[in-house]
Amino acid sequence: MDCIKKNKQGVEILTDYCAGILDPAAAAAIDTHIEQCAQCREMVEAQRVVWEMLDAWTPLEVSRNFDARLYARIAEERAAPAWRQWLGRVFRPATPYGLWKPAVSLAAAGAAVALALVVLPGGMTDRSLFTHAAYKSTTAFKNTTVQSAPGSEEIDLEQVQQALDDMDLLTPVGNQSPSSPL
Amino acid sequence: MEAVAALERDAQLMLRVRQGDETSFTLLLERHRAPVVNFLHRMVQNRAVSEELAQEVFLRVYRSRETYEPTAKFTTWLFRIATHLALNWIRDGKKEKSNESLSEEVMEGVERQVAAREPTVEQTMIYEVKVREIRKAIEALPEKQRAAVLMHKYQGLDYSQISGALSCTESAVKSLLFRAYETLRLRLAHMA
Repeated sequence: MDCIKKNKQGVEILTDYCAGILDPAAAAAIDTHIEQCAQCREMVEAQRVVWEMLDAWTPLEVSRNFDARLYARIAEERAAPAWRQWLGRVFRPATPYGLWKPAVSLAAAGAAVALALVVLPGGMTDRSLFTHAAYKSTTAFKNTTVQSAPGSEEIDLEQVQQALDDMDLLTPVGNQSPSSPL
Repeated sequence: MEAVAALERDAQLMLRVRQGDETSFTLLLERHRAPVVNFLHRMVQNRAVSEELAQEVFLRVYRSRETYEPTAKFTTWLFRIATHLALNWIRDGKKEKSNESLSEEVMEGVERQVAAREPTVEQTMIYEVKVREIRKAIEALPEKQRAAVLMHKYQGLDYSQISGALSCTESAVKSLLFRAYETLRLRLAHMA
């Protein structure tokens, strides 16, 4: 028989052999093989050492009040309002939702597309809105200045009003004075 | 055959819990309390934390009683919940904050190893060194390899159950176990 350790499936078989979960016929075949194959024998011996070492890590006794604490938590949860019980089931499910990974990927892709639409040239950004409003107000003031130049007594009140309105547009939302009609 | 019977028993108990039978939940708790706590203890290596996480596991089992469907083995589902909670705890970086003393565990372990006799100081020291090495070796494994080894070695779960608990393929589980045991062989061989 060729050395079974050389292929991945062989290593699995040797691991199962050490764990004692191979059927008797397969285990007997491995017994025969490791007598002749030094490499496999070495691996089996090393794996047995690991297995025995792990056996030394004995289980702990569970605290005596474990059940009492658990039942107290269950009682507390059962006494909670229905909406809180529902929230618990939704946000702390027994096993993780299988769809969250694709959902996050989809949301990330959507956000990337939205960002590209806003930032790419041609898109309407806050910055372009700001520039547009500033341009309009500057033009309006220029016109006003021309019309109210020395020697001219007529002031276009409508244009001044328009300019002031445009200035209002430049004020960031939330910074309006309390008396502002907006 | 015994495994099939166990599956039926656990699944039936859980279905009875679904119908409002609290005694069946107590039976499930009695059957699986120690394996779950010990699996979590070996994962997070802190007794208080492992019990707290185990409480959360059984709380989630109870909370899911109304929607439970026996599509997989009960133990696979149970260890999937436990693994998920343990991995989240480890990834949250809480491990660094919990330095557990080995002394209590060593005393419990050595008493079991040398049953019915008072352990000598030497026996206690040898056992302590051994357990410390094993714990360090297990802790050094990547999280998924650690979970796979613990379920394979201590809980006796087969490849299919481990793959269900870790949400990966059986072939991935074999690969995880192969790499984990290889690392452990290198690390623990000198302790023979």
